[in-house]
Amino acid sequence: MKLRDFILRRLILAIPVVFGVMTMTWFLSYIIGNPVAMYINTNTPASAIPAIRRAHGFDEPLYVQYFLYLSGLFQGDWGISTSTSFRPVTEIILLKFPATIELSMIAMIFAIVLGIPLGILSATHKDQKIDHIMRIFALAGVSMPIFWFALMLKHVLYFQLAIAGLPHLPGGERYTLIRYLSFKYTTGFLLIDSLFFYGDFTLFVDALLHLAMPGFCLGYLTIAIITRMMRSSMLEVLREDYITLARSKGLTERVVIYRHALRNAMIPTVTVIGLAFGSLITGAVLTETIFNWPGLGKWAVRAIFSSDLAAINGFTLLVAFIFVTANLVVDLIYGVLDPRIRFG
Amino acid sequence: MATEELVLKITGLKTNFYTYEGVVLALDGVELFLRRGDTMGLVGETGCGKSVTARSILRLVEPPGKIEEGEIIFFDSDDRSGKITPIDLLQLHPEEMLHVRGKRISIVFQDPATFPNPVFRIGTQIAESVLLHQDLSREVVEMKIGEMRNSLTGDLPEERRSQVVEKIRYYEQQLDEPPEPDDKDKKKAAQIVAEEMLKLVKMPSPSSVMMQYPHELSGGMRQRALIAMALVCNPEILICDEATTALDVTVQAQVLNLLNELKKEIGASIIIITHDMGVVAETCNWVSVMYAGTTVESCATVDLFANPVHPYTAGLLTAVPKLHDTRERFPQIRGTVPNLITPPSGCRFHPRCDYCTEICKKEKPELKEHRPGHWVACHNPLS
Amino acid sequence: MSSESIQAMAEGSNDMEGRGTQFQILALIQLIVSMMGFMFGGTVVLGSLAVMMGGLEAGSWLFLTAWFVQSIIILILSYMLLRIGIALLNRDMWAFSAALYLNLLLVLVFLTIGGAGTIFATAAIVPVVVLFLPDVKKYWYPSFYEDTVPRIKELRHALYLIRKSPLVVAGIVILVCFVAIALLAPFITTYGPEQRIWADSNLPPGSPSSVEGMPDHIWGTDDSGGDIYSRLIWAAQVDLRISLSVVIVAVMIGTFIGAVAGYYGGKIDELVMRVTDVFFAFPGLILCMAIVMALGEKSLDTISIALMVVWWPTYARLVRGQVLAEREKLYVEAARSIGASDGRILLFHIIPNTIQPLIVQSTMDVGSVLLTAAGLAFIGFGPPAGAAEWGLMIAIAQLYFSMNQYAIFFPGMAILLTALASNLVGDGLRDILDPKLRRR
Repeated sequence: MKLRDFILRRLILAIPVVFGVMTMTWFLSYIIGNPVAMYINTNTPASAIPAIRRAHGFDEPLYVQYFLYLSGLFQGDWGISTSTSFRPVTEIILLKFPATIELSMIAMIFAIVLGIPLGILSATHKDQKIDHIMRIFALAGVSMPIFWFALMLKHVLYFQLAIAGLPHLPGGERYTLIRYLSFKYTTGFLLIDSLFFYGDFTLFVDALLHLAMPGFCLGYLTIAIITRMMRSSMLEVLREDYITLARSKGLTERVVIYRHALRNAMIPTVTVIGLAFGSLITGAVLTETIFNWPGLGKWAVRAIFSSDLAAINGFTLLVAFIFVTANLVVDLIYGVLDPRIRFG
Repeated sequence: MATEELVLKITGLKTNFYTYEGVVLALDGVELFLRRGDTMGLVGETGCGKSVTARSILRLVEPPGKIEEGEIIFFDSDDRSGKITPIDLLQLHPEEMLHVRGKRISIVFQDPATFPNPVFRIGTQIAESVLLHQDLSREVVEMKIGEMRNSLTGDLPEERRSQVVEKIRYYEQQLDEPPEPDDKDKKKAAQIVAEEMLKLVKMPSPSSVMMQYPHELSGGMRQRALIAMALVCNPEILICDEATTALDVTVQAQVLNLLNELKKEIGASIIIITHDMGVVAETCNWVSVMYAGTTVESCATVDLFANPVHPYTAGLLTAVPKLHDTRERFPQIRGTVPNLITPPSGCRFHPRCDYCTEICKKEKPELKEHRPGHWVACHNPLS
Repeated sequence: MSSESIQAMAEGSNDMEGRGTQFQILALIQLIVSMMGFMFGGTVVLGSLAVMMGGLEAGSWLFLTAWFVQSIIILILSYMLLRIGIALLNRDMWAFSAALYLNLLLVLVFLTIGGAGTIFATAAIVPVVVLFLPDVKKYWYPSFYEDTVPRIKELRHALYLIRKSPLVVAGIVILVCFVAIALLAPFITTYGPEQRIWADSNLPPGSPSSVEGMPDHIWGTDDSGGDIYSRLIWAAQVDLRISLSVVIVAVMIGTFIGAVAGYYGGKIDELVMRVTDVFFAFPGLILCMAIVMALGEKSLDTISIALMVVWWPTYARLVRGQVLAEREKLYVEAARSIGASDGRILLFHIIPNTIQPLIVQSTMDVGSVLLTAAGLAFIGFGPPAGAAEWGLMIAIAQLYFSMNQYAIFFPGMAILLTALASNLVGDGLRDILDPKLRRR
């Protein structure tokens, strides 16, 4: 009961955000160009344009257009992507979404697995050498242009090694295309498809290798965010009274930190992880371009270059939905971590 | 005082805090002794080092604080043989210290609002200490027997019944030499011990409180839970660091009564840290008075209230309002609490003392037995 | 009121007669400065509105659009200074310290405008100087000093902690170096910002120029023969100005909106929070891009405006949270009970107490703005091709990545170092300023 109310309340709060983003994308389509362009391609005869205008309601007053736009979105009509051989935006999103999510998930796992221990280490050794090193490592992640880092990684781990004839990481794509010609996606998630549907373990390994560089590149930014938050919330928690109480019980420092402090320090960190998921998708835009990753990010960049309105709007909406969902999940995890919230 | 009666003896304890403004000499030669079974009050103004003393005993002083020197001798008595071994807590290896904290000496802190961990259930927090410090093998066997007995009361076919009775017999044989239990059973047993403890501290509906979180309890209940946490391992010494200050007066009385009753039940010695003379008069049979990081007077409570010997104590007592007081102005001790970065030379009380002489400014008085059973650190004691 | 105090007041006013003129001069200068602010702000705001409406021929006026946001802030500050000038005429005690702070703020805002701004900035310094003339100082400084002593003490402690933390010191040193390099650019560069020698394209570091008499290319050249070292230094000027002006403007807008939302609560608060939610849910890069497109021209100024629009919600959130917490505190209640107006309470009581997290966040954002600007340049919404700007240099050089890595490496390092320094300082300051983390 309580949980349902909680979720409902959060969902209601999310509605204005989604509406706001939809409205802004509608504005965007007028600001950037002409929204009629979503429905026209180079083969459309000039004489057909007025008919298209009328068919999609572009000669109606603005508020009617706005309403039509919204109802179109709800009915799954997100327009046609002119830069991707005029296919419907929703179709392309469904097609490319798994690649981006797979990459983001790997990056997130990278970041959480590395970031949280690093943050704890940094907090428990505050102002010691190890803390300084950890902080510089973490802060470097948020201080680098992600595309620059990607280029540098690619240069060293791919080009230089390849030129030297050494074993090297692949420089792009999701798997070695020529080697697995017969492969077809089922779910779109390569790691799952390769194991359960294609049944080829070498393809799975190949996919992992392809994920390594872009995953780390994308994850590094998030490692930094998580480490920084973990460190400061851990420092704060370690000064709380209940830590003194835990110590007075005779618990070892390990138990005090990993049992009593960690759970409390995780609460603000989880928020940041949720927020970081949004920035991860934005980061994917640049990373995917560099690593030639057939995901949404690369598609969005191409859409921007060719002023493909429908695609830009579709991408924006998708990112907003992911952001809102991530926040909802964070709120739920919050309830699990912090008993004070559950009934409050 | 004969050492065999003592359970804790502190001599020359010095604790400093290294801050930006300078070194705060928070404790400068604290002398304390606690007899087995006593309840001692540790009184003094705010900032005189009572809490630091308590934390120093458990070695919980956090940086920038540091215990510099001194001796804290704890006379540990073995539960079975009753043999007493003196241990210097300050010389103990940090890992050995973990066995003292919470098990032999435990502490109840001031603020029940901030001390329980907000994300764990009360039951879990109490059971944690039990799991850590107690050998639960016997309790586990007892728990299993109890479960069997319970099942006997229900409807059972004759065949099952005899099986169960046999099992009970089997377990009862184990009671003298219980086997090492597994973790799951241990956790269950710890929960039972914890619940027993909650009953002992008179927690209303203990079994539901076990499953509740700290924020769902009232201040008084939380304080009871904290006391339960401290007492669950039958410590030798219980330190109550202003344990009742944050509570309502009525709740305060309840908690004090509880402490007095518990003391008889578990036979621990208690140190009550407070600035409230009323609490001392009600609960303690021995008092130590602290001033600016030093012990100034130490004697039986009755003696202190009747004949205070140190000028500071005398001043403190005259400042306590009484029920039928007709005084318009309360006498104050003149001056203010000294800055502990640059404390006064000699006796730390001398700038505020009406009986100050030359020697007071130069030499630090030692804690001496002024008359039998009454220790005082003063060059010119009253009476 | 006792007779002594009346007498003392009378003496005070006698004493004042002699120096009255100085106060009038001060107030006058103050009023002039605020008028100048009005003039400048008004011209720019009206001018850019006119350009936006399309009523005026663009081109000559277009440069003004970049200052639109700053100008609005200048207008607001000028209005406050006008009020202060009037208060100065009445010799209200509070007006003096307020004048000091607001004038300095005005100077800062003017400086972000560039060349023309410096003239106005000097004008705004004049009242500050007058405030410290010995006779005037005697009147207000003692009570001001008394008020600030605890703050100065706090500041000194913070400085001590800063000195003790090597990372913050390192960050500050790097930042100072970069600012110095940017300022000294005309003297330490060997080539102009857009100077090119086509024959020298894609040279490795240390190569001599193929043209007789031209200096060596210390860090090599890019694809079109521009000297990387010189362009990097020229770009420092551009990039630091972008990030500083974006952060300052965003902080001010965000503080204002956040403070109002937090203080008044209710519907305004709800509205502001939902709007910031939308901003957070919107991918920043795309929003920036859209704004740049809407403004119709890819230039440094339009990028700055886009970044300002994207950045203010962060600060609005931050300040709102702080204000919500501060609003309930007793000192605010006390100020309200003696009849202080809402504006006064916000400006003089609440906002000063929310400043620490603002400092931390804005220091770190100096780096983040730089990164976002670089990202924008990368997806093709940077300054016009050829300009010396770090992000753009990478964006263009990556097309020739396999031939020439230095053209990417050096600008990237410059961004990394600057952003890292600002993050080091910000992160360290958080440790130092946060009372919860602080150890005395």
